[in-house]
Amino acid sequence: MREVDLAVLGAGPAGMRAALTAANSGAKVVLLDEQQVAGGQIYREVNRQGVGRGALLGRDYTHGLTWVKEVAASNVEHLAEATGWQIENSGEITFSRGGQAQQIAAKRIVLATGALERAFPFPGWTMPGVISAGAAQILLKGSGIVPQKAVLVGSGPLLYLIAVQLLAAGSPPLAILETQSFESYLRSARLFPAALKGWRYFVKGTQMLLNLKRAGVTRYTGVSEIAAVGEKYVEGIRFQFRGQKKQLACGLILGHQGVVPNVQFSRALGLEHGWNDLQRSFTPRTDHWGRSSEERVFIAGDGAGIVGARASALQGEICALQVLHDLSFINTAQRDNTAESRRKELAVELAPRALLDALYRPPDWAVVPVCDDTIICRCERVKTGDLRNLAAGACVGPNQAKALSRAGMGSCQGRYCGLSVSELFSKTNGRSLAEVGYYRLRSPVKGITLGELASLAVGEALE
Amino acid sequence: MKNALHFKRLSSDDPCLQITWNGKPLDAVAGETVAACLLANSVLAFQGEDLSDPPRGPFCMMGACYTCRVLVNGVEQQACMVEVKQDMHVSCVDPEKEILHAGS
Amino acid sequence: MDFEYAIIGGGVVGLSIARGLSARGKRVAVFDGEDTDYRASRGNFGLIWVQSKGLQAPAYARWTRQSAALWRGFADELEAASGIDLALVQQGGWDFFFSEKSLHARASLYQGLADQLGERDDFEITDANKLKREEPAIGPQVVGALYGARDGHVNPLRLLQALGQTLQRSDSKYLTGCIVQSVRALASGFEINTANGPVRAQKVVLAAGLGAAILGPSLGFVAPVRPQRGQVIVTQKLSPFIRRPSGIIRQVDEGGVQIGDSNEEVGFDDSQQLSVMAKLAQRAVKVYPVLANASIVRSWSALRIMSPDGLPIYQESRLYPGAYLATCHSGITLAAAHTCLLPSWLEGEESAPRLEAFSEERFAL
Ligand SMILES: Cc1cc2nc3c(=O)[nH]c(=O)nc-3n(C[C@H](O)[C@H](O)[C@H](O)COP(=O)(O)OP(=O)(O)OC[C@H]3O[C@@H](n4cnc5c(N)ncnc54)[C@H](O)[C@@H]3O)c2cc1C
Ligand SMILES: Cc1cc2nc3c(=O)[nH]c(=O)nc-3n(C[C@H](O)[C@H](O)[C@H](O)COP(=O)(O)OP(=O)(O)OC[C@H]3O[C@@H](n4cnc5c(N)ncnc54)[C@H](O)[C@@H]3O)c2cc1C
Ligand code: FES
Repeated sequence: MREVDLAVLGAGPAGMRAALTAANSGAKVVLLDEQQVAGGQIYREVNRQGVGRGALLGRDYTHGLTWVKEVAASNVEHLAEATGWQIENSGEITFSRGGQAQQIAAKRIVLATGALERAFPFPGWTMPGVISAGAAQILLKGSGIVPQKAVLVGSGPLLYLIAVQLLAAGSPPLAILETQSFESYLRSARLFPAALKGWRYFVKGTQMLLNLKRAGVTRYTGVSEIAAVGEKYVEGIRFQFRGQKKQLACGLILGHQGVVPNVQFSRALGLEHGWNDLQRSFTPRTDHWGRSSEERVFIAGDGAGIVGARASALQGEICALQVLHDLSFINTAQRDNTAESRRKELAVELAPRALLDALYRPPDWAVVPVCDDTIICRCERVKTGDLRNLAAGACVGPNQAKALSRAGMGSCQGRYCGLSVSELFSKTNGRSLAEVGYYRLRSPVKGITLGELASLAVGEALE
Repeated sequence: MKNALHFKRLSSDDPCLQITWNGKPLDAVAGETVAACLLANSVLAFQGEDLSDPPRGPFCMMGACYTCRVLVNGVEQQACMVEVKQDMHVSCVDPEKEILHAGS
Repeated sequence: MDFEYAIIGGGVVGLSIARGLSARGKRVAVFDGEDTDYRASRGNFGLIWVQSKGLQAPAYARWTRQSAALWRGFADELEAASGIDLALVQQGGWDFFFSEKSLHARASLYQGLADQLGERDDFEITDANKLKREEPAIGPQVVGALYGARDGHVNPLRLLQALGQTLQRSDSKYLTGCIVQSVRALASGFEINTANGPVRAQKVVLAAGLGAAILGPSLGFVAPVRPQRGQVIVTQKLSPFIRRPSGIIRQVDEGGVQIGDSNEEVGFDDSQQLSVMAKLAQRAVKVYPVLANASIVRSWSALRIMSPDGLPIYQESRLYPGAYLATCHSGITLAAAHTCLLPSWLEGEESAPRLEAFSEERFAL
């Protein structure tokens, strides 16, 4: 098996900066990512864009190009289209490339697999024509296709960013339905002073709203009772607005309720996690260097709790400093000197986080549907009511529910139902989320074929 | 709304490749994913169209939800994770056919 | 007295016994643990398996056969009561071989048992040609199989669900998330202590799987059970192409192909090991080469509950009559016997099955 000092999984801002920092101090580093090019979610395909597409996506996007180029010019060995599917605490990492399983043994691992969009289940959300807002952005960044007359629904800063990007691409959304209400503003008001350090965010935010207004995009705030309307395909969206039922005709609904850490690997590794109520998600426990409950495994970026792209990059660097220190590439003074300045920058980046989290906290009904008929588990089509019945009966938690209902057993391995199921149990049984816990996740974290797994068999075959 | 235009290609990119979807020719643009190509051609459901199941379409575009699975030249793949290539044959996953394929 | 029976453990063993008792009108309380407990009932392979059972122990072979024969009726009743389809199929099963030598060695063991039991048509040696006709997808490396007519399979998760659901509808109690911390014998009956306070019952059945080893001594049992790990892999759903189950591969009613299962002595460790998974995959592809292209959807490992000789333990406590231990490593296969036959043993009836061979005193030496 090939050996390296550091394997970084995920080539977003966190992974790129971790890999570069370590490699620049002499460590042997591989950087794996399943995408064709480095960049992660925010800088997806940034180095492949013509001038035009980059311009309409904005400066925050094109900023990533510097790092992508730096990776290409560095000693970091970047393995693109390498999908990781199994990691062991000992540092072995197994991945698929071109349908072939390969393995690398690393002295340290940095998990930088980023975030997933939070599932936003509402009646009809499994119909073709409902996609996540992030998915629409990926189509734009990666493939240059733009949704037409779509309705954006949900909450979170990304919702506006994507609206603005669609506008710039010449296809403004039909409307934006915002699920946050006046209460969310009140709830977050006390957080404003602390957040002012991160003023850049707010200038940007105000500018975005202004642009949308100028373009005549209708915004409905404080909406509820969202439902996709249609027989087999989306034909419209129904919702409640200021005490009135409304319906808009549309063929595409782009849903979004913020992003949550992608915990597939941290869970499959059995790392410790805690409930982060502000972000309404589970996050792996890490120390201030990003080290997880396993000595050799570090986590940086949104995968350790949502922090945004710049903070992710800084966390990546901080992780790498400790990795370099662990492996004696740098001494304590060298580590601490650089870390101190990175931490200062990080504090500025994190200043507005609490406000953003409070302001765009998803409403309860967007996490656990009110209607019993609404599907929670997309893969196995398990409905809210079935799970509620289990929780109200003798079923003790998400893992028992998985066995009894098949929720979480499908191909997405619980990525889009896990948080809803845990919250449903918490709510129905009055237990804290820390007590309720989450699905026990297992490898392979990504779908691979049996043949590929079989190719790793060594030694005597089984009778 | 099944036949309305749901997605538009940015005008600067002109179709220059051909693939097939369930045997029908479709225009494709180099660099786009199979999922994007199908959507740009108004194919919203990738699974279950002709089966008794309700149709399913892609959802996340980042390889996480697995509802975009299709057969690409006979091998099951996530349509959102694969780029189009000239003469690629893409079709609905049909479990029955698939297991026979696998035998060859 | 709050209950006639307290059953500690709400896995398939405890629930099967509870079903039998409550069908007889007994008031039963079943205590079960937390969401992340070790639960063989959630991680097993779903076989109702007869061939290969009790090759060295005819009493066990008979007990297994008795249960397999009762399964259809047991399932019919449970399905009617719960409205849940258990996907029971008992149309025989395979044991595959990659070498003639091991096939024939095994066959002679089977013959020995069949002679002892006085059974005819117990099993059949199936050569490669015949096997190919029966299982068209079989691979060329399989030289033949042993066919067992009594073998079958079931959806074990739906079995668990149906047992739990029907119990909740009876006047018995299913107390989940309710760990039994200790049990105390009273002048008459037992006091079961949980975090939610004590419960009293006339009799107590310890069916706590691996948890039995902890509570056992306080009731006068040794309960010498140990964990044995089994890893299992499941593929995406495929249209039916495997006709009959085998000990290592079966296609479940939902379409997925389940591939198992390892036997590892690793203590209380239910993590997975890639090297073992790879070998399971390799063997499965050897048996059904078409599987090479099937994608894996899930995999897991779970701990079996093993006694030193692999046979069940059914024991009434000598120190505290009225306390019973029930544990086995094939709780799916034996579910029908546990529901239909164990209650009469617990009640001390004339017609009770003879279970001396499964006393834990056999380990006393
Ligand atoms: C769909 C989506 C769109 C977003 N768009 C924006 C945006 O436009 N602007 C913004 O400020 N923030 C955006 N975000 C938030 C974004 O997550 C952070 O700002 C930032 O990208 C986080 O950086 P990161 O390095 O932690 O993770 P990411 O940038 O998410 O990078 C993670 C990388 O890990 C890779 N990966 C994951 N699993 C595997 C695996 N098993 N094998 C191999 N590689 C794997 C992924 O391909 C990805 O490249 C978006 C988030 C999502 C989910
Ligand atoms: C990989 C694998 C494959 C298998 N395949 C088959 C097969 O094909 N066919 C077959 O017949 N069998 C099979 N088995 C075996 C079968 O699964 C078990 O025999 C059966 O599930 C045992 O059930 P149980 O109720 O004794 O134990 P468990 O399912 O482990 O249940 C024990 C229960 O007791 C509870 N408990 C423990 N301590 C306490 C306490 N102090 N208080 C309250 N509750 C407590 C726990 O919460 C748990 O729910 C397999 C097992 C494994 C691991
Ligand atoms: S669209 Fe979700 S995996 Fe492809």
